[in-house]
Order: sequence, then structure tokens, then C-alpha cells
Amino acid sequence: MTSPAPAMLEEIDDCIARIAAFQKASGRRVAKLIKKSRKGREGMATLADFGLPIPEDFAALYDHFDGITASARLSFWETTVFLDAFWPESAMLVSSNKIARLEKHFVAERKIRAFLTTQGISYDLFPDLAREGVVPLVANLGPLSQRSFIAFDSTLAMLRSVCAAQDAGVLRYAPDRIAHFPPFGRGVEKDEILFDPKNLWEVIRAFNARAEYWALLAEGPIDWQKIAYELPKDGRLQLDPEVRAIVLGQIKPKP
Amino acid sequence: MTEGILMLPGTVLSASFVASLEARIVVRASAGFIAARVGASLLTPRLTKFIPYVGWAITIGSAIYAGYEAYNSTEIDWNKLENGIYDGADLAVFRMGFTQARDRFLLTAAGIAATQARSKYILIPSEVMPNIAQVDSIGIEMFGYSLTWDPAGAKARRAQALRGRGTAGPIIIPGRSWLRGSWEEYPFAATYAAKPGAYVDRVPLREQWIQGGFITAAAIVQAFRVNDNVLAYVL
Repeated sequence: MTSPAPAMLEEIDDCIARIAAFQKASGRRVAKLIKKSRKGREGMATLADFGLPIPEDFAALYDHFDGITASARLSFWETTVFLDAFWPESAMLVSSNKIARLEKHFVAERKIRAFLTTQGISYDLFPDLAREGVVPLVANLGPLSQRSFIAFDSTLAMLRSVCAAQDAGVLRYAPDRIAHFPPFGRGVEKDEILFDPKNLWEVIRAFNARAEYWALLAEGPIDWQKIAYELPKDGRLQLDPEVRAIVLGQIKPKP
Repeated sequence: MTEGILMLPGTVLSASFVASLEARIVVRASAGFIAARVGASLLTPRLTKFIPYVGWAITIGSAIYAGYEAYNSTEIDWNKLENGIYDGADLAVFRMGFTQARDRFLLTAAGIAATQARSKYILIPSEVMPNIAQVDSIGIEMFGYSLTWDPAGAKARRAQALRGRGTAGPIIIPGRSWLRGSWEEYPFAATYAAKPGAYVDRVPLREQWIQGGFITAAAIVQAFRVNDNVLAYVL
């Protein structure tokens, strides 16, 4: 894995500083949890051993940081920083990527699991969809759907998009819970990010020429054509025994 | 098929989490206790004390070893366990545990589906509470995994569930020493199910404290509010 270029690191550090400032200005306690760390680099090195190339911008995001370790008193909705997505610690990335491969999730070998959202959707890296070395972040539902849509042209495009959306004033956070129960429909939690997909898309489309997810979302709910899932009759989902060893820290994940 | 019982072998929890959790239950001896043990060692009558150099070295060495042993000795924080007390450091550990459990849960179709439906959930990782997981699994079979969050009624429901039962007494687990017991009920005390009643059985007290920590973490992280629908999953 090659080291990210200084210009790339500089831009990403600047984006993170702007995101932290926006979180602080929005009164969100997660701002204090955006801290520099060297652990991310080690995590990227481990992730690189899985065999897929780590995109330069994704590695750069973890060069000076190691995601966010949420404190005990913060809700999920208060810890999202990349729109509706969390910024996971590199250790979490390593274990979830390993488990997805061991359990032979749909296209697990093709992708690097990256950012999970509060909606159950992941923005994952698909190196085989790269163009000129730039790897897109693809919205997908993991084992629940075979559909996927490019959400951001790259990790850097995601960061640029978040900063642009912040500056354009299209992002805000729910001051309190809104209409959680039927018949009001989908509820909104306190501190949950709020944006109109149409407005967001207008702001971020300049950075995401390949993206299709936001444009579709702007038209209405996406039909994921979910795969019906059923638990085994005895209620037990059997995993590869190696998963147990990994999650218990008995062995370090290897490709 | 029983919704809510996933029983993922190995589940989710890292060794560092399990070690952190243990440290929340078992407390190290205090500095005062260590000093008392060192002092007692020095005061113990020994003939070697009066032998210059070698004898003195033995005495000092014995005192240091007594201090080392005291440092390594631990005790269970029973007050915490019996009264269901969780301090800030405990909650930080349970937050970490819940996050790990959730990440594992969200690698399953059931987890993604629950999140897509914007369901809130309580996760019971069986590896750190195997007896609780068994009791709750039976409870889920009987009362379902869909519960309503109502912490205000917890005391009354627990009293109702435990009516006519004595103390839980000790729990004997093969290959282990006796563990102090407690009564576990499903639906959890802070919740109720559509079907009235509860399944009650004995579990180790320490597991019940761990379960309380996981439920508390789930409630904080997902901002449970009164009358929220909450799904229970045994992992």
C-alpha cells in the first residue's frame, strides 16, 4: 500500500476540520470525538492484506485519524458525520470485512465494507468499478439485496460533497423526535440528519458525475428488491468457526 | 422459525471488550489494602529480621511479595451487581459492547432488515450471558420478540413476576464455582409484550448485571422512549 500524496492528505485533513467545525457549530457533541490518531494507518495496512487495493483517498482518510469512537452518552443519530453515515474505527472495518468474506456475503470479495448509515445502507468501495484509479462508494444493502448504486465517485468526492452540503445549508439536524408512530409514517429521531435529497443532489452532483443513488432517491423511495431471508428452523445461524476466533480476538484477521 | 433468536456462534465481542467487562465487575484491591498487607508482612515476627544483610533482604523481599500479592488480589463489586448500578466507565464499556454486537448484527439480513424498518432493538450476546440468553430464548418463544418500552412500570412488573418466589440462591455451573443467583424474567422488566405474563428462571447475578448494561446501552444509543416498539434479539 503506497502512502497518500501530501496534497491529498492536506485536502482530506481540511475537509475533516470543516466537518468537525460544522458539527461543533450545530451543537453536536460528536465534534469533540474527531481526534487525530495513528491507529488508522495500522488498520489500513491490515485491510490491504485482504487482497483488494486500498484507494489512496480512503487510506488518506485514515492516515491522521482512526474514525470515531462514540462515547457512552451519544445516540447513533448524534454520531453520524458523513451525512447519514458513521465513520468507523479501522479495527471495526477490518473485522466486518473479514466476517463478510468468511460468511460469503454477496459480492463480499469484490468490495471493501466502508461506511454504514443509520438506514441500514452501506457505502462500500468497489475497486473493480474504478475509473482511472478512482474507486467509487456504492450504496448497497449487503446480503439483503443484489441491487447497488454509486453514491459518491470516490471517498474524496464524499468528503467534498459533505463539506459543500454543509456550506450550502442543505443539512440540518432534528431538534427533537418527529412523528415516530403510525399513522404519521416514517419517524425522525432527535439529532437525526435531515435533508431534501433533491437539494442535496443539486449541491453535490458536481463532485459525483457517476453517482446515481441520490438522483434516484430524489425521485422517491428506492426499490431495493429485497431478498427474502429466513432464519433456520432451529433459530440458529451457523457461522464459520473462524469468525468466533476473530471476533474474540484470538487470532488476527488474515486474508 | 422464531424471530429474535439468532444465536450467532461467537457473535461479536472482542477479547478487549470481554476483559474490560470483567474489570467492571471485579475490582482491584485498594492502595490502603495493599499497604496494610505490606505492613503486616513487615510486622510478622521472623528470626531472619535480625540477621544482617541477607536476613534484611529476605524481609524486604517478603514485604514486596506480600504487596504484589495484594495488588493482584481482586474482589467482586457486589454492591454494583445487587443494585444494578452503572457508573460512567461501566456505560462506556457497555457502549463499546453494544456497538460491537450491533456491527455483527448488521452483517445479517435480519439486522439490515430491522434497521431499514427503523426498528429499535435490544441485543443479548450469548457469549457474555449464556444463561440469560437461554432464559430469554424461551421467553421469546413464549411471548415473542416484539416488546414495548415502559421503564416506569419495571418495578411493578418485576414484583409481579417474582411473586411467590424466594431468593434465587446460588447457581451451580459445571466446572465453575458457585455463582450468586438472581431471577431473570422475559419480557425484560422495563418492557412488556402483547401477551400478558412473563417467563422467569434463575441466572447468575453477574449475567443479569451485564444484561442490564446492554439494555441500558441500547436505550441510550437508540434513544428509547416510553411506548417505543423494541425488538429483542439473542445473538
